[in-house]
Amino acid sequence: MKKNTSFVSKKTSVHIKIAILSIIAIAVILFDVCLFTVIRNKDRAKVVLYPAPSEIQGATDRIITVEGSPVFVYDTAVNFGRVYSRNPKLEKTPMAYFDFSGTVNVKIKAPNIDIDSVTIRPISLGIVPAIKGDTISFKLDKPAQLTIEINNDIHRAVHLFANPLEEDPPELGDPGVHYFGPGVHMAGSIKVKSNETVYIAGGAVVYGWIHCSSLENVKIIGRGIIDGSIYDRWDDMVVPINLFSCKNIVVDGISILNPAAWTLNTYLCENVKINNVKIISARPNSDGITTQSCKDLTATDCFVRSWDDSLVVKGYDKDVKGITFDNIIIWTDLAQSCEIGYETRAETIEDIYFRNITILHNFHKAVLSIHNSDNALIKNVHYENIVVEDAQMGEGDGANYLIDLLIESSQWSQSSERGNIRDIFFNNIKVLSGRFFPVSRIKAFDEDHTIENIHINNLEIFGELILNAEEGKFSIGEQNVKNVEFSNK
Amino acid sequence: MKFKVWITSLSLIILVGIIFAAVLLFNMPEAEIISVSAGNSQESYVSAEGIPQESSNESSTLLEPASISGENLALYKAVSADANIQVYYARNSVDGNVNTYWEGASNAYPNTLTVNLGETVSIKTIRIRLNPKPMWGVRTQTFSIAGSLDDETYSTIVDSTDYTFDPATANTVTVDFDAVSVRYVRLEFTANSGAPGGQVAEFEVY
Repeated sequence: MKKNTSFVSKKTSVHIKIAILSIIAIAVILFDVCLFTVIRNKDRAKVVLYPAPSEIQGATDRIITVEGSPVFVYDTAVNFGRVYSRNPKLEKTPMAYFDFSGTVNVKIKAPNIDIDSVTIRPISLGIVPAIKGDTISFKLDKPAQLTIEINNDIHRAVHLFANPLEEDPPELGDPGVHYFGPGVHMAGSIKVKSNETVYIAGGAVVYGWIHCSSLENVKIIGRGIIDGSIYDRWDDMVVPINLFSCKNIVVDGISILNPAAWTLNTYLCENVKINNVKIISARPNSDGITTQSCKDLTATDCFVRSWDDSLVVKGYDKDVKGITFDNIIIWTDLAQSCEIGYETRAETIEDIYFRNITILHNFHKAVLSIHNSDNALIKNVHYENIVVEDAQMGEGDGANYLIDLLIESSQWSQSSERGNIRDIFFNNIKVLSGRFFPVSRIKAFDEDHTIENIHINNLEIFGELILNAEEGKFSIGEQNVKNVEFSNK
Repeated sequence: MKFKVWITSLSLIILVGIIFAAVLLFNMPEAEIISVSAGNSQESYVSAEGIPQESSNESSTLLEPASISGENLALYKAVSADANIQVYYARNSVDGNVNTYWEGASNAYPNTLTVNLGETVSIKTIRIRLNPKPMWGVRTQTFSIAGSLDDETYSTIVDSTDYTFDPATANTVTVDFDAVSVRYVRLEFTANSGAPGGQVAEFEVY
């Protein structure tokens, strides 16, 4: 009997040994797998840094490193005024960029600042930094355009543009290439012909402008900066990139800072591809990406912070068809974020898509708006997957609109005939937080100039699903507005 | 016996795993960091033809047109256009600032720009100015000049003519004609080689 017990206990102890060894073995294997993944990512990690030209004065209150190497921090103009003025007071904000692949460690030091909290936007990326004294650190494993707000200070928010690596950049001396290498260039007017490329290398700061008229197959690419800060808003009015009647145009990878008027304008153009363009503007009428009477224009993976409308579709004369904004990050200091109007003198403005758009902050006017103040029929417009992280609309002389659909004459009207609005789709619209619950407006002109078929699906404001006009604080014209439908599909 | 095999093989796995981890840890690779060398200030750029371009300084001498005797009767007077594009309003054409301008609606000729002199006066010269900065390039604009006493009936003062605007000649065009009494002066543009609409930085009447 006794013998038997001891046999059983011996057997049990062997079992326990095996169990413990198994657990250790599994732990070791898991550790190895993790280690291997980390090493493989490290191995793939590549960082390209672009030191700034020596005469550029950078920001000193934010020090950035990637994988331990310093990244130059520019200091560029921004504007916190919430009322239009001809000579607004400007401030400056830090901006930095680099290219990378793999997984990299980013550190940002704010000397002598005791960091309590950090908000890295877009919030949806879920980047939670480690905070240690005056330094934060976080990992990036894919290209991103971020703002980093330390202790809730939006005035010195870091604008960090982590680009993908460049693919086959042109080389100095390549035929048909206007080559701007690293350094400061007082270029003035950059005269481009069809089938040519303007290459602005990382580390270049170009003071100048590219105005194209009736050209085809032009590329404006690189990682460098077009800076408008030396030009006067009222004397020079230089639009950094202004394309008239052009076809097959690519604008990719560059940054445009402090333009003296509009920033990137397209008028009567066809087949325009804008990708990974970063815009920060501050002065009067410095709209971000403006498109007028264009066909087949797509803007993808862009960052637009502007002191006037961020993304604008207008119809100056010819029709507008096929405009897509996809994966755009917006910070609107003044006016609207995603605007169609006010100039709508085309016969039709149709097939417009605002997709996957994150509005980090909007301080002034409507986030999503159609202002039909001329004669156009505006139809088939889609606003999809829109996130408003910080809804502060209504500051200054603004209005607290989330959605504003309006047919009315305005100071910009030139046509005495009024237009119509049809088939507008809002799908997955989220407002995360804000000062006040935003209102919305749908207002037509008269019985012959109406707004019809407005589909609002999955609208969520401050965590509340909106299923009718009352819940969403919508004011909807009783006559002349037909078929407004709220749903949750 | 069976248990011994288990214990031995598990121990082996653990041992190999630890060695593997140690090897990996000792051979931790660094991320590849490329720092492009910083450029110099005031670099020239290389044009598409492979030619280095001189840095230009826009504040170089700008030409002023010769002065005209008499007073510019249109300065700060009421002005209107049939249309304008963007922020290029008609009032920019009578504000005494050659840097701001009016531009008519694009590809919608004729574009008209009309100034109300406030009272009926005798006029004999019209001067049209554009910004003299080199960025404005040479262009030809085609326009006619008409006058009216009541803003309803207009009679032609100068027929439609091609005029060349060139920064080398201060980007200014002066048109003299026999004196005529009018209150309203209208320019009617039908072509512009430099833009899709008529452009006027200053509309001067003497």
